Amino acid sequence: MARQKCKVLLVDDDEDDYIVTRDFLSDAEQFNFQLDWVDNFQAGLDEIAKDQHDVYLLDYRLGKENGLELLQEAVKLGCHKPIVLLTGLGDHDIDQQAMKSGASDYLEKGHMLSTILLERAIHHAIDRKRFENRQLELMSELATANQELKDFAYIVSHDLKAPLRGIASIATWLSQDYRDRIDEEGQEMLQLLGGRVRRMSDLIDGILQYSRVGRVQEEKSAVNLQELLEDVMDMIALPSSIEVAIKTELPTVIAVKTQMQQIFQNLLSNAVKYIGKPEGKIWIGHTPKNRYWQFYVSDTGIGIDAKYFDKIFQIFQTLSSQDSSESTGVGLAIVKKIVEINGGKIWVTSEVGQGSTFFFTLPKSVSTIEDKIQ
Amino acid sequence: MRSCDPILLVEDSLIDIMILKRGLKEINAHNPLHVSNDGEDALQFLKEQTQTHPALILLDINMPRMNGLEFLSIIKKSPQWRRIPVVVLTTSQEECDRKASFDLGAAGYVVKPLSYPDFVEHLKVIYEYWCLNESPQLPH
Repeated sequence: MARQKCKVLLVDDDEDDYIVTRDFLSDAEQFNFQLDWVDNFQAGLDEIAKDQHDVYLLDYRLGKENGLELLQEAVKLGCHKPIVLLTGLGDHDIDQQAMKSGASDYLEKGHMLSTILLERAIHHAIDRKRFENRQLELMSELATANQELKDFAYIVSHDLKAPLRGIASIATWLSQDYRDRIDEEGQEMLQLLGGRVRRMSDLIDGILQYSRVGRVQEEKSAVNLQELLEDVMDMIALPSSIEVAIKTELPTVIAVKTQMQQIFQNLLSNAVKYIGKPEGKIWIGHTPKNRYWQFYVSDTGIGIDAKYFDKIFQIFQTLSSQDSSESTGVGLAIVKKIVEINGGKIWVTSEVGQGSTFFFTLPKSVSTIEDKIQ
Repeated sequence: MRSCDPILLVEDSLIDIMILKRGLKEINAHNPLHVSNDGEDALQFLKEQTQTHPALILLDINMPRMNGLEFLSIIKKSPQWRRIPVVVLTTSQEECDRKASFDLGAAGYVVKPLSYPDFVEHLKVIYEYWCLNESPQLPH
């Protein structure tokens, strides 16, 4: 098997150290090391700037400068190759500073150093740096995608709704100003046109709401879900024919308050909307599950056929026709998105005609709550 | 604001201009109305008005050349125009636009509703409110 080529630069002011390092590296089994050596700070920095090596070994002692300073200068230059700092025995402060400054590893010189250790350190440093670079790439891709989403939402918000208002207004004026010249059928068409425009506008609002989850950064705080649920119940006009019972005292979680509100508001108003009978019951409660709280919102409504269990969480998916339904099908998609960005899961169990139960989990993160209180 | 005081509308969309003109007629507001199609036009118009200033500016945000927020930041820095109340009338429900408008000194921020009858209702409230307001003495 051909050994992987690896170009190493050693920056060390002591020729004996260079010879020791060279001998160690020549015995390496995994890599075919090619070692270059410079003996001072400036020459080291010049070499690093040329970016011709796969890994840099910097000795801590470099005459009046030191390897830590060289590391920091290299990072400033934008060096994206792994750097290993060679330090004396027991220099733990320097070791830690090196890692903070962006070193990929450190090695203690001395009688403990061996081919195996040196090779392993270099191997590890290369892997670690590759991983770091990949992570930086992903972060920058993510930032770009986020920016694009923000731009997109802004355009939708500004440019897509304005023409709809124009269409809606003109439909209204036609129906008013030309009343004597448009027959009943024509009036009906104008009504339909108005309805379609209204629906389009609702869909745009829906997609904006959906994209706002996670797009707009909001502060997390300790949210008492029991109080929150009571507020939500006051907000929703609960018909007297429906009995709502909170079965357990809901816990406090660390979350964005408005997001928690959206979860309960959507699940509760759905339960009310699809009760479908003169009388109904809704139960809300929770149980602890390891690191999570598991919540449920259960109703005695019309229920959902099992084949639609996945569909109902997709944006704009409703189970009733466009014309008969007031809903745009964005509520459950928003709930799912909120639950998932908080590290939880959501699912539903249901029997047609008997009712549905929506379950979702949220991390307890109790420790953080205690931290906040202190 | 009195019924003879001029109103400036800064709006680029033809239909939105129709909506507002028709709406003003419907609520019996007969104030002289000047329409500029973007921020630059509106600034030019204000510069030419040496005798009178508009008593109220209704401002759209999304316009070509100079948008509403740019226009707002310019007139709020000007000693002769900064007292003119500006009500932002826009489609945008984005929080950043709302915050920016008030940061720059808008007197109000109203999202234009989709349907024309709703718009007329909104306009009536805005108009009546500004009629109750004592206009600031604008330096000429």
